[in-house]
Amino acid sequence: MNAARPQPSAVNHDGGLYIAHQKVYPREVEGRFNRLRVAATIALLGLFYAMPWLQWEGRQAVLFDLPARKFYIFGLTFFPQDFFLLSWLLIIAALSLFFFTALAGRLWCGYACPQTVWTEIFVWMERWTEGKRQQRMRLDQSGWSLNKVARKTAKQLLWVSFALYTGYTFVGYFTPVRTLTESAFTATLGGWELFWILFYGFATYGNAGYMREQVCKYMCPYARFQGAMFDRNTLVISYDTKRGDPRGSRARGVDPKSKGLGDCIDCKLCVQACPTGIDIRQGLQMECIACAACIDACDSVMDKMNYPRGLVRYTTQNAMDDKPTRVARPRTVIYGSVLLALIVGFGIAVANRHLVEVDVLRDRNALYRPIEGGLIENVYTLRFINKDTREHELRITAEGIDGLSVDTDRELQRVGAGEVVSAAVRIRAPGHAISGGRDIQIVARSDDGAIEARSKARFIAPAAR
Amino acid sequence: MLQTEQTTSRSRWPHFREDLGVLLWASFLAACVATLLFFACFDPQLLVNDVAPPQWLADRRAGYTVGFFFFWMMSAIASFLTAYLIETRSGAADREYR
Repeated sequence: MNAARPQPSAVNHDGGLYIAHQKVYPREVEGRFNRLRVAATIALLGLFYAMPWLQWEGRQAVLFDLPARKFYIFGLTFFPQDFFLLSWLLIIAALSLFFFTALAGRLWCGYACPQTVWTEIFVWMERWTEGKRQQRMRLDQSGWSLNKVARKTAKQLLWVSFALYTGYTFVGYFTPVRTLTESAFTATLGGWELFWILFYGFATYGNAGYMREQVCKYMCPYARFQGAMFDRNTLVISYDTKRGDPRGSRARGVDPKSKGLGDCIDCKLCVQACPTGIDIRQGLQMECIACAACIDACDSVMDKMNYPRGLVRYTTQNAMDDKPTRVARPRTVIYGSVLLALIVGFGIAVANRHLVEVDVLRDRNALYRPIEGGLIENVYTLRFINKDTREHELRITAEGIDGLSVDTDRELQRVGAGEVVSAAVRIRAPGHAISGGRDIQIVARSDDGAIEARSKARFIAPAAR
Repeated sequence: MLQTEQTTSRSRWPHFREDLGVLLWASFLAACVATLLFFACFDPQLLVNDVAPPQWLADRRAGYTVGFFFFWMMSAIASFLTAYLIETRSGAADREYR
């Protein structure tokens, strides 16, 4: 993976080797990969914008209720105690990225990354208001005229409102979006909500409107390390040097071989189409996000010239060298099987999740209290977490010391669906049965036997003399 | 060598603005992870339970937000110090590619 060396002309004159940033004006392309990217953009962003409006059993289907510390995902309710599931999910996500990178290169970058997807939308809006590539370049070079002001204002208006709506949707995942809409219309948005709408909106506006390919080139860690997952069998976008070189213009219908030329007519459409501003013909480069815009651009030219398509195409290093490409190879098999195991394990863990959990907090004021009848009493606060979608009534018992008894305010502790309830419990042990500290088990059971939650606690008694 | 001395004398940290962007971004990512991990384990309300929390912290969202910016600030300080010490050690500016 040879990074493109700075061209001498582009070197700054202050002696540094940073290239002055040049705005990229990606050329509009038509073709099958463009259609695929448009479809991916609409599907992914559609999902993002529509999801908060989806209802499930009378509440928002996907809601991360941070103030209440509860996460609703369709029929499931998650609590911070389920954090390991989230970590697990993140590991699965990371490994999927590895797997698909090894298999098919930077699919993520080209079609699914939020940066790509939102940039795509922002470029559309730029096209609607400022026109095609040539028109945009001319507009930027021209002086301020009424036309320019009108077009730039229209673009900013579209960008800002779309960015704000994006921030609004984002906050809608954390505050119920219907409540949010109500408060937006009655101008009673909370300070935090307003802050995050503006923050996320501004990030969208800046990243998709202005930063664009610079995010991939300078900010994205994945772009830097994805090369480590590549091998000679990985799907990459590549220019067929053997077929294309030597490059040169020619009239349509002229046999290139008679002029000593390859199939590349050097029209530079692939360069103009590139959203990161590279020349794919220089080989695989770190900046390439594999969006396949150059393939579409080149195919359209090949069609016009009546040459076969695929001078720039999805291929592998092995295929380019006329060697067989293998999909199943140690790297993909290992990534794939570990991924599969993790996904199955995750499914099992979610399915077998304890629906009710009990947390035990010791009373901080007194270690123990001797009471009538030669008993030693310890006081605890129990916290019941009901992740189930129905209410449970729990009976509390304790195990671990002979003669343990439990005294609660209510015989049966009622915990509603998705609720967290705290209750004090006094546990007593005969003084002769224990000295010093010992671990006991506090058990919460429903009378129908459907629920049994256990938690370890420390029972403390005076040391024997 | 002449070129080198010129570079060194002109600026102790040649690409400060570009590097600032990188270090703010890297620390932003670290702060996101730290916020996620920290608040998964600790409820912001319980953190201030015993010491009479200020009124504005009664809203958990305030706790999360303050926590996030606190983590961002801390990781930015670490990033900044790292970059500063690497950029200003003697001979750092002589290297052609960084």
